[in-house]
Amino acid sequence: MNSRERVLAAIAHKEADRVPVDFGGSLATSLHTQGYAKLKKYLNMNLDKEIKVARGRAQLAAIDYDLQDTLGVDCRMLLVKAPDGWINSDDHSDILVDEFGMEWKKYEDIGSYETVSSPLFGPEVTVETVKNMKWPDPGDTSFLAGAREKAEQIRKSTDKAIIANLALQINTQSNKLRGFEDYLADMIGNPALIESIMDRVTELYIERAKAILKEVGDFVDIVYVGDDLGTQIGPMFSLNTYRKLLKPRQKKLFEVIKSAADVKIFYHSCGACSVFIDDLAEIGIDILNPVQVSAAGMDTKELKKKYGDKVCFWGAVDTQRVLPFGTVAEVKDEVKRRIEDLAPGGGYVCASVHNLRPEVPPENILAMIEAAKEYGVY
Amino acid sequence: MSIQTVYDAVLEFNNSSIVAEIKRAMAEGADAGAVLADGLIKAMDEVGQRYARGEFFVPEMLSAARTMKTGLDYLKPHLAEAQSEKEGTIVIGTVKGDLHDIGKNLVAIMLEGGGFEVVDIGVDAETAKFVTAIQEQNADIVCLSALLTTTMGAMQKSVQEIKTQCPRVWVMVGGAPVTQEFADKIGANGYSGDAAGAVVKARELLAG
Ligand code: B12
Repeated sequence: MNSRERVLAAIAHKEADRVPVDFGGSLATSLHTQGYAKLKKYLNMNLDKEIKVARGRAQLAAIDYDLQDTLGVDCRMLLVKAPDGWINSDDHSDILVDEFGMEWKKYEDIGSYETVSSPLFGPEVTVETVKNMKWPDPGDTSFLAGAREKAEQIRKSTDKAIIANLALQINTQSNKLRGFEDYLADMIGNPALIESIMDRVTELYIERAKAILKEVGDFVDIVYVGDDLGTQIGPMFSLNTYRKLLKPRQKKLFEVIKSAADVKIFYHSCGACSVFIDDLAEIGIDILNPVQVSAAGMDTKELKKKYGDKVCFWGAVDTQRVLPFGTVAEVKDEVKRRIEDLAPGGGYVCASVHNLRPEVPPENILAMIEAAKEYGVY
Repeated sequence: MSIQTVYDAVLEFNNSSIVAEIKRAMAEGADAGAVLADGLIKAMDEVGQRYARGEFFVPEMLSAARTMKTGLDYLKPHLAEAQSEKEGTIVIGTVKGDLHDIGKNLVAIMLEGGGFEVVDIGVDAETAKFVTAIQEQNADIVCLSALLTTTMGAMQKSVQEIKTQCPRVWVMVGGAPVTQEFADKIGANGYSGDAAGAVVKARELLAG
């Protein structure tokens, strides 16, 4: 059984030879560039010295294929260079402007970027402002140059499952544009404004999904999308708000993705998001990530019992305590526990809850992967 | 009776009518202190409880808090006249290296709604910025927020430094990865997992 078959079996809720493992396959199962530098140094392998960046604004590392092969992980990342190409690893200017006209400031010492201005920030913004702002052209597909060749080359060079990391986050993009706090308040105070923003974003993303999958669809197994729905202690907004604003638009996007290619949908939401799982499954997600076990209502036993037949869980190895601060033995116990809870009958891919922060010790990263292979045998 | 409509306006997020409701209540004879205590503060206590019960979520909390704030801004000059006593002064910020601010802002606004004077020093705040603000404001309490495991270390350092430089200020900490256990370990005096709890804790600390 090869990696790809293993992953697809898990998603189909079947037990493979062992639980599949992901490290570096998606934009939410990788690690910070500083952490990756530490890991490479620790391994002292003959790896490329240079660290490739998968996503500049989060300083997210693209893990070397050689290392993925050595570690025996089961997934590969396909990044389609989205038009937010304004940021790349060697661009050191302080403020960068993206395709929506938002300005991002680099926090040098933190190594990440955050928005400092947007055409849709502020109390004066109305539905008219949204209409009149300069939106990216949905017909622009220039960013796709070379994508097909790249996807084909990855497919031919590996038997790992390939994840096309499209992101296409309707909620996240809309809240970036409006500003997080105003966005949240407007969700109930001025929903028409939020819907007008979401509509434009959805329209754009639908065209992008179509264009990208037309190019690479036949070479990929999984499409990564996501939108954070949870906080540490509860859902970010109510199920009603979700159903009214976000769900119908996500549904349209997911339908387009599924009809454009034979792929599984990998949905990422941080935090306490269990109340949304039924609805997400209904609109077509196959995989739920990152299963933030430290958030409220995210107990893996409960989740498996309630939703185990609806979604495949992907993640669940704690990053708020165990991976950064625990011992190697604790990491192994954590992996064992998650596998016991989530893996019976398939439906689990083992990975960390979200990207690893720079402080996670290399020993713990390796222990996680080793333990997953050891305890994951069916 | 008339104060009830102020209370209702907060719970219905009626930002555009809150000032009118306050004016009406005061015209009917309610004093500013009572409007604050039985209208705004009482409403925010209820908001906190509804959040804890899972009836309100972040948008509802924020909207109620903003309505309360509009009312409070109008009420402030009248309060000075009525010299209603402040609960205390609080400096709040997100620690160095951390840019998350929604939780911190909610805590700040709930504390304000709870009758405290709140000075917000923003995100990515160096220890020195906390210390200066505490000294300048003669603060009773300092609140530190951290949302990343990466910045829990910065929180610990800031708390230690604040404790040495400002020995009489109470220190409260919070944010997603922060627990009571961690708060105890780094020598903080108070912790809460949510904004409503932060108000309760702050009151407890000052009550001694
Ligand atoms: C929204 C969000 C963001 C937004 C923040 C927008 C903003 N303006 O704040 C954005 C997109 C910018 C962001 C960025 C990042 N984020 Co973030 N983010 C979140 C998310 C989804 C929700 C946080 C939130 O706003 N909650 C809502 C508020 C109301 O809740 P709260 O903050 O917890 O606050 C409440 C309590 O904690 C308490 N409280 C808070 N502070 C205080 C203080 C005191 C004194 C007291 C008493 C109480 C208290 O009361 C509050 C109200 O009830 C969390 C998920 C989670 N599990 O929390 C991730 C999360 C915190 N983020 C995470 C990460 C990794 C990041 C990034 C590093 C990602 C990246 N690589 O770009 C960057 C970091 C940038 C930086 N250096 O700060 C991780 C942290 C993981 C870890 N190991 O610690 C989390 C946990 C997601 C995850 N599952 O992995 N993020």
